[in-house]
Amino acid sequence: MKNVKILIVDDDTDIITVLKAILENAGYSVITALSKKEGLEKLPEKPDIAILDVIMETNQAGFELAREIRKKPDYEKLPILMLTSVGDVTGVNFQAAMSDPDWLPADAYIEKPIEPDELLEEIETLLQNRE
Amino acid sequence: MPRLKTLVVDDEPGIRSGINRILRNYSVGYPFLDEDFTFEIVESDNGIEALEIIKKSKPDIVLLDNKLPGMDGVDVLEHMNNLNLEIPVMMITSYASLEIAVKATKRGAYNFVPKPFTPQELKSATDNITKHLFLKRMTKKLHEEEKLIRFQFLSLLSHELKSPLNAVESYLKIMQYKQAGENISSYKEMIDRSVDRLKGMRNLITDLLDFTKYESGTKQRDLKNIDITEIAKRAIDTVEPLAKQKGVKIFIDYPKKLLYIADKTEIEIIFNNLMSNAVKYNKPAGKVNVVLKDHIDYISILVEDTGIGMTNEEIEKLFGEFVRIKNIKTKNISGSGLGLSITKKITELYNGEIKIASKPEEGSKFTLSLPRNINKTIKTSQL
Repeated sequence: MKNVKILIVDDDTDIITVLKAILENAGYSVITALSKKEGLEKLPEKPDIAILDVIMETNQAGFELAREIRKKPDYEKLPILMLTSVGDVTGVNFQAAMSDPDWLPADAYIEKPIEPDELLEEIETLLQNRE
Repeated sequence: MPRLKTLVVDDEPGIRSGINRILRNYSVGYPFLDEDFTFEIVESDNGIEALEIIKKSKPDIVLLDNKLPGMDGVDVLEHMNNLNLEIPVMMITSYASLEIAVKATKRGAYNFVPKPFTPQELKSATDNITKHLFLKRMTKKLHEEEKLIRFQFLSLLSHELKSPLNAVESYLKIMQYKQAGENISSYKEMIDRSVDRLKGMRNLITDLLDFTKYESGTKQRDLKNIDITEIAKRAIDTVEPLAKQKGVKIFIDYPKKLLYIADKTEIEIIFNNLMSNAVKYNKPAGKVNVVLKDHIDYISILVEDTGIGMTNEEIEKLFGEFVRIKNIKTKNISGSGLGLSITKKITELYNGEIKIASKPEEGSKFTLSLPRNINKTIKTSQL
Protein backbone atom coordinates (compact mmCIF):
# COMPACT_ATOMS: atom_id res chain seq x y z
CA MET A 1 0.00 0.00 0.00
CA LYS A 2 2.65 2.47 0.93
CA ASN A 3 4.96 1.20 -1.75
CA VAL A 4 4.75 4.67 -3.13
CA LYS A 5 7.75 6.38 -4.70
CA ILE A 6 7.96 10.17 -4.51
CA LEU A 7 10.28 12.23 -6.70
CA ILE A 8 11.51 15.43 -5.01
CA VAL A 9 13.18 18.14 -7.11
CA ASP A 10 14.64 21.15 -5.26
CA ASP A 11 17.99 22.93 -5.54
CA ASP A 12 18.17 23.46 -1.77
CA THR A 13 19.72 20.40 -0.14
CA ASP A 14 18.17 21.25 3.23
CA ILE A 15 14.67 21.26 1.77
CA ILE A 16 15.46 17.86 0.26
CA THR A 17 16.54 16.67 3.71
CA VAL A 18 13.35 18.02 5.27
CA LEU A 19 11.09 16.43 2.68
CA LYS A 20 12.97 13.16 2.84
CA ALA A 21 12.65 13.06 6.65
CA ILE A 22 8.91 13.76 6.58
CA LEU A 23 8.11 11.40 3.73
CA GLU A 24 10.29 8.47 4.74
CA ASN A 25 8.99 8.73 8.29
CA ALA A 26 5.52 8.37 6.82
CA GLY A 27 6.53 5.24 4.95
CA TYR A 28 7.10 6.58 1.45
CA SER A 29 10.25 5.95 -0.53
CA VAL A 30 11.98 8.97 -1.99
CA ILE A 31 13.94 9.80 -5.16
CA THR A 32 15.79 13.12 -5.10
CA ALA A 33 17.08 15.58 -7.71
CA LEU A 34 18.75 18.98 -7.37
CA SER A 35 17.80 20.53 -10.68
CA LYS A 36 15.35 20.39 -13.56
CA LYS A 37 17.93 18.46 -15.58
CA GLU A 38 18.48 15.91 -12.84
CA GLY A 39 14.75 15.65 -12.25
CA LEU A 40 14.21 14.55 -15.84
CA GLU A 41 17.08 12.09 -15.57
CA LYS A 42 15.52 10.45 -12.52
CA LEU A 43 12.08 10.10 -14.13
CA PRO A 44 12.72 6.57 -15.47
CA GLU A 45 12.72 5.40 -11.84
CA LYS A 46 8.95 5.65 -12.16
CA PRO A 47 7.78 7.84 -9.28
CA ASP A 48 4.11 7.85 -8.31
CA ILE A 49 4.12 11.54 -7.41
CA ALA A 50 6.46 14.43 -8.15
CA ILE A 51 7.14 17.35 -5.81
CA LEU A 52 8.79 20.25 -7.64
CA ASP A 53 10.35 23.45 -6.37
CA VAL A 54 9.58 26.46 -8.55
CA ILE A 55 12.81 28.49 -8.66
CA MET A 56 15.92 26.41 -9.34
CA GLU A 57 18.46 27.01 -12.11
CA THR A 58 16.12 29.72 -13.37
CA ASN A 59 12.93 31.37 -12.15
CA GLN A 60 10.96 29.16 -14.53
CA ALA A 61 12.71 25.84 -13.92
CA GLY A 62 9.90 24.26 -11.89
CA PHE A 63 7.19 25.27 -14.33
CA GLU A 64 9.26 24.06 -17.28
CA LEU A 65 9.93 20.75 -15.54
CA ALA A 66 6.22 20.22 -14.88
CA ARG A 67 5.45 20.81 -18.55
CA GLU A 68 8.19 18.50 -19.72
CA ILE A 69 7.10 15.71 -17.39
CA ARG A 70 3.56 15.93 -18.72
CA LYS A 71 4.78 15.66 -22.28
CA LYS A 72 6.31 12.25 -21.65
CA PRO A 73 4.04 9.35 -22.61
CA ASP A 74 4.10 7.50 -19.26
CA TYR A 75 3.71 10.62 -17.15
CA GLU A 76 0.75 12.49 -18.56
CA LYS A 77 -1.20 11.71 -15.42
CA LEU A 78 1.60 11.87 -12.86
CA PRO A 79 0.35 13.91 -9.88
CA ILE A 80 2.52 17.01 -9.52
CA LEU A 81 2.80 19.11 -6.37
CA MET A 82 4.56 22.48 -6.60
CA LEU A 83 6.56 23.92 -3.74
CA THR A 84 6.57 27.65 -3.60
CA SER A 85 7.99 30.44 -1.48
CA VAL A 86 5.31 32.91 -0.45
CA GLY A 87 5.09 35.76 -2.92
CA ASP A 88 7.63 34.10 -5.17
CA VAL A 89 9.87 36.24 -7.34
CA THR A 90 7.59 35.70 -10.24
CA GLY A 91 4.57 36.96 -8.28
CA VAL A 92 2.56 34.19 -9.86
CA ASN A 93 -0.93 33.42 -8.70
CA PHE A 94 -0.84 29.65 -8.48
CA GLN A 95 -4.56 29.10 -8.74
CA ALA A 96 -4.56 31.01 -12.00
CA ALA A 97 -1.45 29.26 -13.27
CA MET A 98 -2.82 25.79 -12.51
CA SER A 99 -6.08 26.51 -14.25
CA ASP A 100 -4.10 26.66 -17.49
CA PRO A 101 -2.41 23.28 -18.02
CA ASP A 102 -0.28 24.71 -20.81
CA TRP A 103 1.22 27.13 -18.31
CA LEU A 104 1.39 24.98 -15.17
CA PRO A 105 0.18 21.40 -15.43
CA ALA A 106 0.35 20.84 -11.67
CA ASP A 107 -2.33 19.38 -9.44
CA ALA A 108 -1.64 21.25 -6.22
CA TYR A 109 0.82 23.56 -4.54
CA ILE A 110 2.02 24.15 -1.01
CA GLU A 111 3.97 27.03 0.41
CA LYS A 112 7.29 26.95 2.16
CA PRO A 113 8.23 26.70 4.99
CA ILE A 114 7.00 23.15 4.94
CA GLU A 115 4.30 22.19 7.38
CA PRO A 116 4.72 18.39 7.78
CA ASP A 117 0.99 17.66 8.26
CA GLU A 118 0.00 19.82 5.34
CA LEU A 119 2.49 18.06 3.10
CA LEU A 120 1.31 14.59 4.09
CA GLU A 121 -2.34 15.50 3.69
CA GLU A 122 -1.74 16.92 0.25
CA ILE A 123 0.10 13.76 -0.82
CA GLU A 124 -2.66 11.51 0.45
CA THR A 125 -5.25 13.54 -1.43
CA LEU A 126 -3.25 13.33 -4.64
CA LEU A 127 -2.83 9.57 -4.25
CA GLN A 128 -6.52 9.06 -3.59
CA ASN A 129 -7.56 11.13 -6.59
CA ARG A 130 -5.25 9.12 -8.73
CA GLU A 131 -7.05 5.86 -8.01
CA MET B 1 15.78 53.59 -41.83
CA PRO B 2 13.86 54.95 -38.87
CA ARG B 3 11.22 57.35 -40.23
CA LEU B 4 10.20 60.19 -37.94
CA LYS B 5 6.61 61.32 -38.31
CA THR B 6 6.92 65.10 -38.65
CA LEU B 7 3.87 67.35 -38.40
CA VAL B 8 4.22 70.77 -40.07
CA VAL B 9 1.66 73.33 -38.94
CA ASP B 10 1.61 76.60 -40.88
CA ASP B 11 -1.23 78.50 -42.54
CA GLU B 12 0.95 79.44 -45.54
CA PRO B 13 0.94 76.67 -48.17
CA GLY B 14 4.22 78.01 -49.60
CA ILE B 15 5.95 77.49 -46.27
CA ARG B 16 4.54 74.01 -45.86
CA SER B 17 5.61 72.87 -49.31
CA GLY B 18 9.00 74.52 -48.82
CA ILE B 19 9.61 72.60 -45.64
CA ASN B 20 8.36 69.43 -47.28
CA ARG B 21 10.80 69.84 -50.13
CA ILE B 22 13.74 70.46 -47.83
CA LEU B 23 13.09 67.69 -45.33
CA ARG B 24 11.83 64.88 -47.47
CA ASN B 25 15.29 64.20 -48.85
CA TYR B 26 17.10 65.05 -45.65
CA SER B 27 18.50 62.65 -43.06
CA VAL B 28 20.04 63.03 -39.63
CA GLY B 29 22.46 60.61 -38.09
CA TYR B 30 25.30 59.99 -35.64
CA PRO B 31 28.54 58.39 -36.78
CA PHE B 32 28.00 55.57 -34.31
CA LEU B 33 24.49 54.78 -35.53
CA ASP B 34 24.02 52.36 -38.39
CA GLU B 35 20.94 54.06 -39.70
CA ASP B 36 19.99 57.67 -40.21
CA PHE B 37 16.65 59.25 -39.35
CA THR B 38 14.47 60.43 -42.21
CA PHE B 39 11.26 62.43 -42.14
CA GLU B 40 7.74 61.57 -43.10
CA ILE B 41 5.90 64.88 -43.47
CA VAL B 42 2.28 65.45 -42.49
CA GLU B 43 0.79 68.92 -42.94
CA SER B 44 -1.88 71.02 -41.29
CA ASP B 45 -2.93 74.64 -41.72
CA ASN B 46 -4.60 75.29 -38.36
CA GLY B 47 -4.19 74.58 -34.65
CA ILE B 48 -7.38 72.64 -34.07
CA GLU B 49 -6.74 70.16 -36.86
CA ALA B 50 -3.11 69.92 -35.75
CA LEU B 51 -4.19 68.89 -32.25
CA GLU B 52 -6.48 66.23 -33.70
CA ILE B 53 -3.62 64.84 -35.76
CA ILE B 54 -1.36 64.95 -32.72
CA LYS B 55 -3.85 63.10 -30.58
CA LYS B 56 -4.60 60.49 -33.21
CA SER B 57 -1.26 59.67 -34.76
CA LYS B 58 1.32 60.90 -32.20
CA PRO B 59 3.98 62.48 -34.43
CA ASP B 60 7.62 62.29 -33.34
CA ILE B 61 8.35 65.97 -34.05
CA VAL B 62 6.14 69.04 -34.60
CA LEU B 63 7.10 72.17 -36.59
CA LEU B 64 4.76 74.90 -35.45
CA ASP B 65 4.04 78.38 -36.72
CA ASN B 66 2.70 80.87 -34.19
CA LYS B 67 0.38 82.90 -36.38
CA LEU B 68 -2.43 80.43 -37.11
CA PRO B 69 -6.15 81.00 -37.75
CA GLY B 70 -8.27 80.51 -34.63
CA MET B 71 -5.63 79.21 -32.24
CA ASP B 72 -2.11 80.60 -31.81
CA GLY B 73 0.88 78.30 -31.94
CA VAL B 74 1.64 78.98 -28.27
CA ASP B 75 -1.88 77.82 -27.41
CA VAL B 76 -1.34 74.63 -29.40
CA LEU B 77 1.74 74.17 -27.25
CA GLU B 78 -0.31 74.63 -24.11
CA HIS B 79 -2.79 71.97 -25.23
CA MET B 80 0.04 69.61 -26.09
CA ASN B 81 1.39 70.03 -22.58
CA ASN B 82 -1.98 69.13 -21.13
CA LEU B 83 -1.89 65.95 -23.15
CA ASN B 84 1.48 65.03 -21.62
CA LEU B 85 2.84 63.81 -24.90
CA GLU B 86 6.49 64.88 -24.64
CA ILE B 87 6.78 65.60 -28.35
CA PRO B 88 9.58 68.07 -29.16
CA VAL B 89 8.34 71.22 -30.92
CA MET B 90 10.23 73.56 -33.24
CA MET B 91 8.61 77.00 -33.56
CA ILE B 92 8.75 78.52 -37.05
CA THR B 93 7.54 82.05 -36.91
CA SER B 94 7.77 85.35 -38.72
CA TYR B 95 6.24 87.46 -36.00
CA ALA B 96 9.12 86.68 -33.72
CA SER B 97 8.95 88.92 -30.74
CA LEU B 98 10.82 88.35 -27.51
CA GLU B 99 7.50 87.99 -25.71
CA ILE B 100 6.33 85.15 -27.94
CA ALA B 101 9.74 83.48 -27.79
CA VAL B 102 9.66 83.53 -23.99
CA LYS B 103 6.07 82.26 -23.91
CA ALA B 104 6.82 79.45 -26.32
CA THR B 105 9.94 78.45 -24.45
CA LYS B 106 8.06 78.47 -21.14
CA ARG B 107 5.51 76.19 -22.69
CA GLY B 108 8.19 73.78 -23.73
CA ALA B 109 9.15 74.58 -27.32
CA TYR B 110 12.56 73.09 -28.01
CA ASN B 111 13.94 75.52 -30.60
CA PHE B 112 13.11 78.31 -33.07
CA VAL B 113 13.57 78.92 -36.75
CA PRO B 114 12.59 82.46 -37.67
CA LYS B 115 11.09 83.08 -41.10
CA PRO B 116 12.41 83.64 -43.66
CA PHE B 117 14.82 80.74 -43.25
CA THR B 118 17.31 79.22 -45.61
CA PRO B 119 17.23 75.46 -46.24
CA GLN B 120 20.46 75.20 -44.27
CA GLU B 121 18.93 76.99 -41.28
CA LEU B 122 15.97 74.62 -41.30
CA LYS B 123 18.20 71.57 -41.65
CA SER B 124 20.38 72.76 -38.78
CA ALA B 125 17.41 73.24 -36.46
CA THR B 126 16.02 69.86 -37.57
CA ASP B 127 19.36 68.26 -36.78
CA ASN B 128 19.22 69.65 -33.27
CA ILE B 129 15.69 68.66 -32.53
CA THR B 130 16.15 65.15 -33.93
CA LYS B 131 19.25 64.48 -31.87
CA HIS B 132 17.50 65.85 -28.81
CA LEU B 133 14.65 63.40 -29.41
CA PHE B 134 17.04 60.50 -29.86
CA LEU B 135 18.94 61.29 -26.67
CA LYS B 136 15.77 61.67 -24.67
CA ARG B 137 14.53 58.27 -25.82
CA MET B 138 17.85 56.56 -25.19
CA THR B 139 17.99 57.98 -21.68
CA LYS B 140 14.47 56.81 -20.97
CA LYS B 141 15.31 53.35 -22.29
CA LEU B 142 18.43 53.15 -20.12
CA HIS B 143 16.48 54.21 -17.04
CA GLU B 144 13.93 51.53 -17.75
CA GLU B 145 16.65 48.96 -18.24
CA GLU B 146 18.19 50.12 -15.00
CA LYS B 147 14.87 49.74 -13.26
CA LEU B 148 14.50 46.28 -14.71
CA ILE B 149 17.98 45.31 -13.59
CA ARG B 150 17.29 46.66 -10.13
CA PHE B 151 14.00 44.77 -9.99
CA GLN B 152 15.70 41.56 -11.03
CA PHE B 153 18.43 42.12 -8.47
CA LEU B 154 15.97 42.75 -5.66
CA SER B 155 13.88 39.74 -6.67
CA LEU B 156 16.95 37.58 -6.66
CA LEU B 157 18.03 39.02 -3.33
CA SER B 158 14.64 38.30 -1.80
CA HIS B 159 14.87 34.71 -2.97
CA GLU B 160 18.39 34.33 -1.57
CA LEU B 161 17.27 35.60 1.81
CA LYS B 162 14.08 33.56 1.96
CA SER B 163 15.75 30.27 1.09
CA PRO B 164 17.77 29.88 4.29
CA LEU B 165 14.78 31.05 6.34
CA ASN B 166 12.56 28.45 4.70
CA ALA B 167 15.12 25.74 5.36
CA VAL B 168 15.62 26.65 9.02
CA GLU B 169 11.92 27.06 9.67
CA SER B 170 11.16 23.75 8.00
CA TYR B 171 13.77 22.01 10.18
CA LEU B 172 12.29 23.62 13.28
CA LYS B 173 8.82 22.41 12.36
CA ILE B 174 10.06 18.85 12.02
CA MET B 175 11.57 19.14 15.46
CA GLN B 176 8.41 20.73 16.77
CA TYR B 177 6.29 17.86 15.51
CA LYS B 178 8.97 15.35 16.47
CA GLN B 179 8.78 13.90 13.01
CA ALA B 180 12.09 12.09 13.35
CA GLY B 181 11.35 10.47 16.69
CA GLU B 182 11.84 11.36 20.36
CA ASN B 183 15.61 11.13 20.46
CA ILE B 184 17.44 14.48 20.28
CA SER B 185 20.41 12.90 18.50
CA SER B 186 18.28 12.34 15.39
CA TYR B 187 17.93 16.07 15.17
CA LYS B 188 21.62 16.88 15.52
CA GLU B 189 22.18 17.03 11.79
CA MET B 190 19.20 19.36 11.38
CA ILE B 191 20.39 21.63 14.14
CA ASP B 192 23.89 21.79 12.61
CA ARG B 193 22.47 22.57 9.21
CA SER B 194 20.23 25.28 10.64
CA VAL B 195 23.19 26.92 12.30
CA ASP B 196 25.12 26.75 9.00
CA ARG B 197 22.27 28.28 7.01
CA LEU B 198 21.93 31.13 9.50
CA LYS B 199 25.66 31.77 9.29
CA GLY B 200 25.27 31.85 5.55
CA MET B 201 22.50 34.41 5.86
CA ARG B 202 24.64 36.60 8.05
CA ASN B 203 27.49 36.41 5.51
CA LEU B 204 25.08 37.22 2.75
CA ILE B 205 23.86 40.32 4.52
CA THR B 206 27.42 41.49 5.23
CA ASP B 207 28.46 40.87 1.62
CA LEU B 208 25.37 42.64 0.45
CA LEU B 209 26.19 45.72 2.46
CA ASP B 210 29.72 45.74 1.00
CA PHE B 211 28.31 45.22 -2.42
CA THR B 212 25.86 48.09 -2.16
CA LYS B 213 28.59 50.36 -0.87
CA TYR B 214 30.68 49.67 -3.97
CA GLU B 215 27.65 49.82 -6.21
CA SER B 216 26.53 53.22 -4.91
CA GLY B 217 29.99 54.70 -4.84
CA THR B 218 29.79 55.58 -1.18
CA LYS B 219 32.75 53.51 -0.07
CA GLN B 220 35.59 55.67 1.15
CA ARG B 221 38.83 54.69 -0.50
CA ASP B 222 42.22 54.96 1.15
CA LEU B 223 44.75 54.70 -1.65
CA LYS B 224 48.33 54.16 -0.53
CA ASN B 225 51.47 52.43 -1.71
CA ILE B 226 50.95 48.95 -0.26
CA ASP B 227 52.74 45.61 -0.44
CA ILE B 228 50.58 43.12 -2.32
CA THR B 229 52.79 40.20 -1.28
CA GLU B 230 52.06 40.93 2.37
CA ILE B 231 48.31 40.96 1.77
CA ALA B 232 48.46 37.73 -0.21
CA LYS B 233 50.36 36.01 2.58
CA ARG B 234 47.86 37.18 5.15
CA ALA B 235 44.92 35.94 3.04
CA ILE B 236 46.58 32.54 2.83
CA ASP B 237 46.93 32.45 6.61
CA THR B 238 43.23 33.22 6.91
CA VAL B 239 42.21 30.37 4.66
CA GLU B 240 44.76 27.93 6.13
CA PRO B 241 42.39 26.28 8.67
CA LEU B 242 39.86 25.44 5.97
CA ALA B 243 42.62 24.23 3.66
CA LYS B 244 44.04 21.98 6.40
CA GLN B 245 40.61 20.49 6.98
CA LYS B 246 40.42 19.46 3.34
CA GLY B 247 44.06 18.51 3.03
CA VAL B 248 44.54 21.22 0.43
CA LYS B 249 48.11 22.51 0.03
CA ILE B 250 48.74 26.13 -0.91
CA PHE B 251 51.83 27.17 -2.87
CA ILE B 252 52.83 30.77 -3.43
CA ASP B 253 55.34 32.34 -5.81
CA TYR B 254 55.90 36.01 -5.12
CA PRO B 255 58.46 38.82 -5.29
CA LYS B 256 59.84 39.80 -1.87
CA LYS B 257 57.87 43.02 -2.09
CA LEU B 258 55.24 43.95 -4.63
CA LEU B 259 54.34 47.61 -4.29
CA TYR B 260 51.15 48.96 -5.79
CA ILE B 261 49.00 51.98 -5.08
CA ALA B 262 45.67 50.68 -3.78
CA ASP B 263 43.17 50.57 -0.98
CA LYS B 264 44.28 47.80 1.41
CA THR B 265 40.76 46.61 2.22
CA GLU B 266 39.86 46.27 -1.44
CA ILE B 267 42.89 44.12 -2.22
CA GLU B 268 42.18 42.03 0.89
CA ILE B 269 38.66 41.41 -0.33
CA ILE B 270 39.96 40.25 -3.70
CA PHE B 271 42.47 37.84 -2.17
CA ASN B 272 40.08 36.51 0.45
CA ASN B 273 37.49 35.82 -2.21
CA LEU B 274 39.83 34.11 -4.68
CA MET B 275 41.59 32.11 -1.97
CA SER B 276 38.40 30.96 -0.30
CA ASN B 277 36.94 29.85 -3.63
CA ALA B 278 40.16 28.04 -4.55
CA VAL B 279 39.95 26.03 -1.34
CA LYS B 280 36.16 25.59 -1.13
CA TYR B 281 35.83 24.24 -4.64
CA ASN B 282 38.97 22.13 -4.42
CA LYS B 283 39.26 18.38 -4.18
CA PRO B 284 40.48 16.76 -0.95
CA ALA B 285 44.30 16.71 -0.94
CA GLY B 286 44.22 19.17 -3.82
CA LYS B 287 46.54 22.10 -4.55
CA VAL B 288 46.25 25.85 -4.80
CA ASN B 289 48.87 27.87 -6.64
CA VAL B 290 49.19 31.62 -6.12
CA VAL B 291 51.57 33.61 -8.34
CA LEU B 292 52.22 37.33 -7.98
CA LYS B 293 54.21 39.13 -10.68
CA ASP B 294 55.39 42.66 -11.32
CA HIS B 295 55.17 43.52 -15.00
CA ILE B 296 56.14 47.21 -14.51
CA ASP B 297 53.12 48.54 -16.43
CA TYR B 298 50.84 46.28 -14.46
CA ILE B 299 50.81 43.63 -11.76
CA SER B 300 49.30 40.19 -12.10
CA ILE B 301 47.65 37.97 -9.51
CA LEU B 302 47.10 34.35 -10.45
CA VAL B 303 45.13 31.90 -8.30
CA GLU B 304 44.68 28.40 -9.61
CA ASP B 305 43.27 25.27 -8.04
CA THR B 306 42.98 21.56 -8.77
CA GLY B 307 39.32 21.62 -7.96
CA ILE B 308 36.04 20.64 -9.51
CA GLY B 309 36.34 23.19 -12.28
CA MET B 310 33.56 24.66 -14.39
CA THR B 311 31.98 24.18 -17.80
CA ASN B 312 32.03 27.01 -20.32
CA GLU B 313 28.36 27.61 -19.56
CA GLU B 314 29.09 27.99 -15.87
CA ILE B 315 32.00 30.35 -16.56
CA GLU B 316 29.76 32.67 -18.51
CA LYS B 317 27.35 33.08 -15.60
CA LEU B 318 30.04 33.42 -13.01
CA PHE B 319 30.19 37.10 -12.21
CA GLY B 320 26.48 37.65 -11.89
CA GLU B 321 25.03 38.66 -8.56
CA PHE B 322 24.09 35.74 -6.34
CA VAL B 323 25.38 33.33 -8.92
CA ARG B 324 26.72 30.27 -7.26
CA ILE B 325 27.38 27.38 -9.55
CA LYS B 326 24.87 24.75 -8.51
CA ASN B 327 25.52 21.22 -9.53
CA ILE B 328 25.92 17.91 -7.82
CA LYS B 329 29.58 18.62 -7.06
CA THR B 330 28.89 21.93 -5.31
CA LYS B 331 26.03 20.57 -3.26
CA ASN B 332 27.56 21.21 0.11
CA ILE B 333 29.58 24.32 -0.61
CA SER B 334 28.24 27.47 0.96
CA GLY B 335 28.64 31.05 -0.15
CA SER B 336 26.67 34.22 -0.69
CA GLY B 337 27.19 34.33 -4.41
CA LEU B 338 28.33 37.95 -4.16
CA GLY B 339 32.05 37.34 -3.67
CA LEU B 340 33.03 37.30 -7.32
CA SER B 341 30.67 40.16 -8.18
CA ILE B 342 32.39 42.30 -5.58
CA THR B 343 35.82 41.15 -6.76
CA LYS B 344 34.92 42.12 -10.30
CA LYS B 345 33.62 45.53 -9.25
CA ILE B 346 36.78 46.22 -7.28
CA THR B 347 38.97 45.11 -10.20
CA GLU B 348 37.11 47.55 -12.41
CA LEU B 349 37.90 50.39 -10.00
CA TYR B 350 41.54 49.84 -10.89
CA ASN B 351 40.78 49.58 -14.62
CA GLY B 352 41.88 45.97 -14.24
CA GLU B 353 40.81 42.71 -15.87
CA ILE B 354 39.90 39.24 -14.65
CA LYS B 355 40.37 36.23 -16.89
CA ILE B 356 39.16 32.72 -16.13
CA ALA B 357 40.25 29.38 -17.51
CA SER B 358 38.66 26.23 -16.23
CA LYS B 359 38.13 22.55 -17.01
CA PRO B 360 35.57 20.41 -15.20
CA GLU B 361 37.26 17.94 -12.86
CA GLU B 362 40.67 19.55 -13.45
CA GLY B 363 40.44 22.94 -11.82
CA SER B 364 40.13 26.67 -12.36
CA LYS B 365 42.57 29.50 -12.93
CA PHE B 366 41.76 33.12 -12.16
CA THR B 367 44.15 35.75 -13.49
CA LEU B 368 43.82 39.36 -12.42
CA SER B 369 45.81 42.14 -14.03
CA LEU B 370 45.87 45.56 -12.42
CA PRO B 371 47.50 48.37 -14.40
CA ARG B 372 49.81 50.95 -12.95
CA ASN B 373 48.90 54.47 -14.05
CA ILE B 374 51.73 56.96 -14.14
CA ASN B 375 49.37 59.90 -14.62
CA LYS B 376 46.98 58.60 -12.08
CA THR B 377 43.45 59.88 -12.16
CA ILE B 378 42.26 58.35 -8.96
CA LYS B 379 38.77 57.00 -9.48
CA THR B 380 36.19 57.48 -6.84
CA SER B 381 34.30 54.26 -6.34
CA GLN B 382 31.63 55.52 -8.69
CA LEU B 383 30.39 53.04 -11.21
